[in-house]
Amino acid sequence: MSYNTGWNVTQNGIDHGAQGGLGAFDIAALQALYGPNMSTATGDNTYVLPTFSDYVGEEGWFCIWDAGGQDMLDAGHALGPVALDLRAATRQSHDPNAGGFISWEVGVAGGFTIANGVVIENATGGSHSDELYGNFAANVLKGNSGQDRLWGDAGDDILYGGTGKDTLTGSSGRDAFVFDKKPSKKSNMDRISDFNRKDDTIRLDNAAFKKIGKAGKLKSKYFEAGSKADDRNDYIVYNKKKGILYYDADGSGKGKALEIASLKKKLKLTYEDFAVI
Amino acid sequence: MADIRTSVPGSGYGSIYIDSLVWGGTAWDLTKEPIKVWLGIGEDFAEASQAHGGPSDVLESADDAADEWTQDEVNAFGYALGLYESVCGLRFTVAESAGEADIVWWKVQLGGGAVGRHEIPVPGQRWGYFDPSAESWQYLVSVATASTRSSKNWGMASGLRIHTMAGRRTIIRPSRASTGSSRSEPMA
Repeated sequence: MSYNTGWNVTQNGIDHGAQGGLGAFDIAALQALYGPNMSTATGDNTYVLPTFSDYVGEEGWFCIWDAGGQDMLDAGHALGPVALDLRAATRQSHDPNAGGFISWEVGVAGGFTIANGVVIENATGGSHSDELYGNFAANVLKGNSGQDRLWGDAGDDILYGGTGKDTLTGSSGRDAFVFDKKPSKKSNMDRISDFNRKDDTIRLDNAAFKKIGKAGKLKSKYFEAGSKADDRNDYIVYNKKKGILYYDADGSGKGKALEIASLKKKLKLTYEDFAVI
Repeated sequence: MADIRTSVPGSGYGSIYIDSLVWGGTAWDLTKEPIKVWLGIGEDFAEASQAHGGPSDVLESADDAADEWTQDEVNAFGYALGLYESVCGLRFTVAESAGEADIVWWKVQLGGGAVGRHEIPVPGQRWGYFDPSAESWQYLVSVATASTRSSKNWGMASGLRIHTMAGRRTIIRPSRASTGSSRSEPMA
């Protein structure tokens, strides 16, 4: 229990920006005395981040207690950059995040934390430059537009940068990096910071990469590891020296290859590191 | 009436932050029935006072209590009680009368800048007080303020302590030194 009017790094007053629900410590203490309510929010719930938008309208700080289901933090209506953090309050003594990790739209006096023991699986950003953090579970993180930064954390995560020049970090687990928008060096070239061949996969949407065939494994003949496409059906090219992944719709033809993403240099990528969706 | 557990530890919950919130000593025992609550008005004073074991230092007569609760206030209380029920095993129900309630809440002038006080759970009826003249009371109908104002008081009713913040430093009010059946804490 606290009498703080609100989070002290945001504007708040007696009529706005206050705690709209119980805090993570309150919930933990109540559960220590009375046990958790495991029947609350057991379905698939979407928690819409408070924003300036009239669409949502409501401000205040809420700590989420959710006992099950496949759940999502949604900032699709945000009017500014957001931080969405799926990590639950740690409760641990002397930990700055013992009371939770803040999900909020920058400048809005309201948002979410997640109570200890709660798993929120997914997060969807808005149209600005957002930061999305996963947790130990299998998360689906979608940056949407803007120059987003996505961290999968542990678990087998699926990261969608969306449009914009995004930075994707899967961390541990068998992560998938999804590219489903038309690539562009200028406006839609992502960076995968920690691609791990042993565990991770790059998923390419054949709606954006029309030449790469049906959903499933990428055919070996469509992939080339080298400085450029060697033949007319080398549609996906990884330049080891530069660490750049390209889409070349006409292979060794005259058409220009488009940059999809940058990865570490000298990776031993093969067609097996890709999936067509 | 709802039962009360005794010998509830005030520490050892695996986190200094949780330990600092739990009063210890007593807590509600809801294995048999939920906590019965009542919004008291002046005409309830005599009946409630009998169940409470007499008036209190805050509420000494029927004249000190307000005569009505607005629908917005009732809704705000319902919202905050729902918050508690949603996260833990606490259960509340509306009592049949002021006399059979486990907790009676009163609107009463507190003074001294306090916005509320509450007695902690011990056997017998417990009283909680809200000051409608406090500035924040006018915002009670907003979700956030309803929660902030009313749930703090119920936190104490549930056996939790209240902290306050000055800058970034959390000040833990001395509380375990306070013992006895009428322990309450100003909500300044």
